[in-house]
Amino acid sequence: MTVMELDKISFRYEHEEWLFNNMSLTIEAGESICLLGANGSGKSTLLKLFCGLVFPSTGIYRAFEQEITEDLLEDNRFAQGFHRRIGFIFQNSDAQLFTSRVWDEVAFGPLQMGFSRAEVKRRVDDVLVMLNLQNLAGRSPHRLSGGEKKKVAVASTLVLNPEVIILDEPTNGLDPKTQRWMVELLMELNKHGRTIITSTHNLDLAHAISQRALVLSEEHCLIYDGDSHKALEDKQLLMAVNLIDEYCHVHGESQHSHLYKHG
Amino acid sequence: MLLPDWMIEEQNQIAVAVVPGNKSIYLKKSLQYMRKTICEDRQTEYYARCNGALQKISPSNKLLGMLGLILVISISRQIPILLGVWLLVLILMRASRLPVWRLQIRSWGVIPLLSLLFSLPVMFNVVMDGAPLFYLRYSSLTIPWLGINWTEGIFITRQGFTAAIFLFLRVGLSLSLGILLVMTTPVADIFQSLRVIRVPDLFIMIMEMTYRYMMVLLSVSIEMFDARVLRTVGKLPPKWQRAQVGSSIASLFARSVALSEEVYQAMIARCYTGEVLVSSEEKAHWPDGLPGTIVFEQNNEWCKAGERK
Repeated sequence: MTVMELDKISFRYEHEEWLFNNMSLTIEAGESICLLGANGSGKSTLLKLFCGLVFPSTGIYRAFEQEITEDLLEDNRFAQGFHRRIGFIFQNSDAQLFTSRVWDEVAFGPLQMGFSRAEVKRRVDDVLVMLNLQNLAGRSPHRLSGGEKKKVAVASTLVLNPEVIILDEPTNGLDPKTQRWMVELLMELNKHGRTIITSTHNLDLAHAISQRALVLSEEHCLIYDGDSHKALEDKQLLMAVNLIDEYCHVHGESQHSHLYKHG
Repeated sequence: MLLPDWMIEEQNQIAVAVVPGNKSIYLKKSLQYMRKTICEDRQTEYYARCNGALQKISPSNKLLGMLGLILVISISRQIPILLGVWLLVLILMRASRLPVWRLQIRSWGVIPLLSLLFSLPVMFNVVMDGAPLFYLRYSSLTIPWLGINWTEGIFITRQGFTAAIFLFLRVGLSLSLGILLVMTTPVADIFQSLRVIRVPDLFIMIMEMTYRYMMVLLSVSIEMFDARVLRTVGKLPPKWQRAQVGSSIASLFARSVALSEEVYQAMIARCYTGEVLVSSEEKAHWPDGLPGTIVFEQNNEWCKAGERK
């Protein structure tokens, strides 16, 4: 089943340069996709477009076989249904955590959906236990560490049980243990049928979690759509989009060059 | 990568034009105030999670009790009642494991003293007529001056003095009760408990978000000022200081606008449609009104007893 489809879309913020240049692609249910590209290549904008937070300037975006337009998302019932099915985890956790208590933060989505009080409590408590956050339930988000904030942001999205989970640079600023936790969580969610779309320039993460890669060039165009492992082995491609770099250095008397990864 | 010549040549002979004086005081002070605010916020949370007497009471009951007590001190016409409330505050602070002496200085040190200062003119017969309590200048002659006939000299009136003392005690006690509530209840719980007094959910949410992002922007400001301090040599001329403050405000404003846009998108992504729906955990129940009612009724009894005497 196709969950998302972009048909010749282009986008631009007011008075800025065009992005994506008639991009077309489809995303099937249960896929795990990584969106690769250097800083400023348009990854975050593309993810926001998938989530219905921004809309294509030209072309058509369909989700769950329905064309998504700004007018359609003005309909509250449709918007709620759409956003329940597509969860978005922001790069900046501070933007996502806006209430003064972790429990309320996680409960925000289910409450907006109009779930009963008992259902909200059940879901929130279950998700907090699942992510081992039950001890933080009464804490204020601004007193949490970076890793804890990210976990709460993930919890606040998972509590709605979305079919598609979109993550913008999920491992940025996380320590190795929390990065590993994130990888395992995403693999587990994908194993249970969730479609995962992750933007990153962390190639190790891309390698671990995804079967398909979408590579954006620095000119904001989709230049690769295919098997992620092949993409990660294609050094020319990665160098062309500035995801790896080559540099020379000297060991003893021999000089040789390495590939240098970002992230 | 080629370094420019000046970067290579000036290694050990950099002439820095050091302006005499310490590092700019305004930078230091700004940083001090910002760090102090963060520290106080953390300290408040620490005390709110201590195992004291008031910390065990539900936030909504505490809020109603405090509001009841503030009402009592606002309508009370007897100083012994106000002193009794003060004693109660001291006992509650002690029982809640709060630093009593420090909090007393904080409660009574500035605002009540200022209100006493502002109410000083009321004590004099020139502003409010009344029975003489203490003469500052006695005169049997009537001297017209500034449009006023100065007949009996200048003295402090009994009524004016009592009014000023009442004002001082009421302001100090209200502040102490507020501090007592804040120090024994996590901030998030205080916001939630506002629902029992029917404060609209949207208003509570705006306050919660304001508080939350105030702390985020405060941390950003500390980083910004730290960066400034590291790049500031000597004392800056006032013109530069003003320019720095202006640019800091502008930068913070731009960041807060960008952040607010992202926060709104995060809300929409989690099914927000413009109407806030919140958990009804803290809606008012009849026992919640009990502490306030008890305090209010008790005060009525005290007042009636006072009037009978």
